[in-house]
Amino acid sequence: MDREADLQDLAKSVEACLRSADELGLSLVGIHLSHAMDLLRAESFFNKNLPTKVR
Amino acid sequence: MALTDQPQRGETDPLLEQAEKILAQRKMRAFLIDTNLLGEPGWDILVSAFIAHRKGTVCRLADIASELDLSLATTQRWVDLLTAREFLVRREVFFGISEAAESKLTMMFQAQVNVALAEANSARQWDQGVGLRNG
Repeated sequence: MDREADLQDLAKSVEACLRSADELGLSLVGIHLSHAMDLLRAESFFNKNLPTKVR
Repeated sequence: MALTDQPQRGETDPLLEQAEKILAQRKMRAFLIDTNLLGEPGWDILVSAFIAHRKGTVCRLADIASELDLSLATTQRWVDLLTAREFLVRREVFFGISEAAESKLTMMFQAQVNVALAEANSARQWDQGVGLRNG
């Protein structure tokens, strides 16, 4: 699998974690996952498709 | 004027200068190292809100995100958490420092300014002592 596809998969996983953190009310966990999403965006050119906010 | 008082127009504000110095030092690190390795945006947001308060203004979410080089979503999450923990007060896209947090940061910056003043005084006295001995 190419790196870009791997990054997309990882972003989807982090997005799912972010949604769970929000549902559980884990604000600080959500912040760190949001930072992870920012870092993934910086790593990738597919950032247009990544969510900017999960609430 | 006591250090903690808000200065009148034209007066220098030692606490504002100290807060700006702290924030500038933190931003300067970006020239040396990838800031993703360092972190602490929560603290940067709080100090920015303190600075805005001393200047008599409030912070705008998008401006702070841009200034701290964070995404809007992440900045919003930090501001939401700091608001929930009563460090900030928020109104739509604007926020400011809470009274309690402002009081804590004032104490901290005042202590730092006091230490700097004491060091400067002691250096001056030492210089004068050397001058007297040599004169």
